[in-house]
Amino acid sequence: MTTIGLKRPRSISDAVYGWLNDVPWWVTVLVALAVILFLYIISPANVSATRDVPDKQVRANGRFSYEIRVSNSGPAEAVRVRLGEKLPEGIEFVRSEPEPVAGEPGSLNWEVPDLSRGETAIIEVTLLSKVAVQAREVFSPTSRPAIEWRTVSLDILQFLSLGVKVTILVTLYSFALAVTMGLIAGLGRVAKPPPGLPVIVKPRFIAVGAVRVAIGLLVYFLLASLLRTLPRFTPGLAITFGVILYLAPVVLHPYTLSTVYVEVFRGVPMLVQVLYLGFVVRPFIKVFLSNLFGTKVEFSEFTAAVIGLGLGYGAYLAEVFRAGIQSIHRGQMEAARSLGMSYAQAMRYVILPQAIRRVLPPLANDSVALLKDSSFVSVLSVADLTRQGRLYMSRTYRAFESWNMVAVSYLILTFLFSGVARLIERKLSEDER
Amino acid sequence: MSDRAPIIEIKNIHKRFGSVYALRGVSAEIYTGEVVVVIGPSGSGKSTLLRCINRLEAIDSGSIVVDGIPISDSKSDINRIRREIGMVFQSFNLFPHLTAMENISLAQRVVRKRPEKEARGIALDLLDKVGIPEKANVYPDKLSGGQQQRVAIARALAMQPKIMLFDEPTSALDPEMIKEVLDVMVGLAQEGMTMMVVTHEMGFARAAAHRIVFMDEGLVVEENTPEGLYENPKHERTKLFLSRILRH
Repeated sequence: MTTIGLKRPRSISDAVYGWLNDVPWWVTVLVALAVILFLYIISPANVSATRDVPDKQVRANGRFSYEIRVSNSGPAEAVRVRLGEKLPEGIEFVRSEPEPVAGEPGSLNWEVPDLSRGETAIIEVTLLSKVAVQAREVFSPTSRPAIEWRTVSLDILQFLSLGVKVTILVTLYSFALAVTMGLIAGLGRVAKPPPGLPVIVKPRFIAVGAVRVAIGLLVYFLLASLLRTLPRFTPGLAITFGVILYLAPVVLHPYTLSTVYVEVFRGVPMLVQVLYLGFVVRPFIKVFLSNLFGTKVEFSEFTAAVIGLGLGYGAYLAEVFRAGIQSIHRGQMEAARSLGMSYAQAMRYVILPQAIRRVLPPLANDSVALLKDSSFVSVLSVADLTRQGRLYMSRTYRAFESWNMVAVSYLILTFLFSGVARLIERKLSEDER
Repeated sequence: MSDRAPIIEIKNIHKRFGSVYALRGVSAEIYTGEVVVVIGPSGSGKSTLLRCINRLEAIDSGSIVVDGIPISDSKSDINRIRREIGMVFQSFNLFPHLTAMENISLAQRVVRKRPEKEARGIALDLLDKVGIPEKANVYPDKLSGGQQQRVAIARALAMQPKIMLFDEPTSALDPEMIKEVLDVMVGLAQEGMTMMVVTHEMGFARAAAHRIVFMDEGLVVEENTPEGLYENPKHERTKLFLSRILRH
């Protein structure tokens, strides 16, 4: 298919991403890598060290002083600057300002304070010469003091690489959980709703419900007496269980469960959900499971964060799946059922394959949103990008560099995710042609 | 036509959609090997009647017994009964994500548990029978309406049903495609398939039907052989309807 003339972009994002439709996917990846490389290349500081030796004659066993100038010509800031000076034969060290630090024998080593762009540090060294010598000729004119340093931006990249890794992991894990939960809850949402609450006073419901309650409580009573670690069989517990069991056909119905799930998790801010999982559910489950099994049960903050995000996004995805399933014409279900397929078979073989194709683009979109919201997990001290950025800032007090790099890192990641989303969309529209 | 017990026995069924009274006490019997055509003005309840027979619509009261099994009884295994009742829809309802072949073999594999190879073999035979063997690996959106409907008929036949229900199978087709579908249906009738057809194709009714049922406002007004009904309608309503559809 060839298009003649310019395509008019449908939206701003279309204008920005439009080119993605015309280039192969690997070009997208290469461009993203090039951006990272570019940031890496422009970042380093450039530190050099020079000696400033006075022009004077030194007697045998005479002392002389000189300066080593360490300067940073930028653009970034240099940190952990270490300077090394190898002394020629017949020259001994007397003192220096600042004092040297321990290093290789036979050479002098200094730690130089951090240097921002254009800054110069001066080290004053006093030496002793065993023989008479011209001070300028002690060091060969081509030699330079050894110098090594780290640049701030290079350093922050290393610092943030852990954050990037954790952010991607959190995103992928919680997205997998969210898709699973969303699919399950979405199927629950399209199920036939249970009978309304008035049904619970009908004679048949009362009869069946009473039997259910009796059997359920008996089973729990037996279990609790066998397994000492289960919570004791108290009146309060009995009433709670009794009510749930009595109302089971209405309350434990897939439709009710998934509707409650969707409404609750969509109604609570994502940040609060992550905090809740980390500080309420995690300790509770740890204690509960540890008591139940009699051993210490591990439940990391990372897991709590992934579950919090995954459940929260699952609630949104449930509505996406519900809409997708409901968008399939009801004739499809009728045709499948009329062939003798069960509801589950019709869902699996006829409705879902069509519905999932339809929801892939919004799903890919939500994965980008999830990537951004993964920054919430930083409140549980999970070492994601945001957390690492904050940590770096609090160590160095360099807010500008920290948050700049964090923002750019997120931008690159979302850029890649959006690229994948575009690819999926393009592939699907090609198939549908 | 056998004089044994009817394969479909409908007794006094009622069906309401909210304020719309679709069926108000319909009774009918269909015997093995019989071809029954249901006609009537739109909204007369003929499609609803058909959909009640395989419980795509649940009835409010009355009873439907198919092949000795009560359809309206919630204890009967509806999926088991539905295997024996093929249904062809006005809008084809082919599965758009599957090829013609896969459309026909899916339910065989999933419901009848036939091995893939056998199911495909049957699918090919049926495609041959409906006259489009070359379209086996084509997706429905690349087929014409008539071809789609023929695949849909093959899909229903693949389950080897005892009864076929046709819900206005040619109403959504262009005139020149109607014949290819009707030819398949006439062939099926000649093989002795029990069929219940909602249609306005009077030519088909004349050629294949043993009986015509005329429905209006949720009731069976009159039933007779095609000749009897066309030449000698008893009710005023039937006369009016026939005069309208047979005029051209």
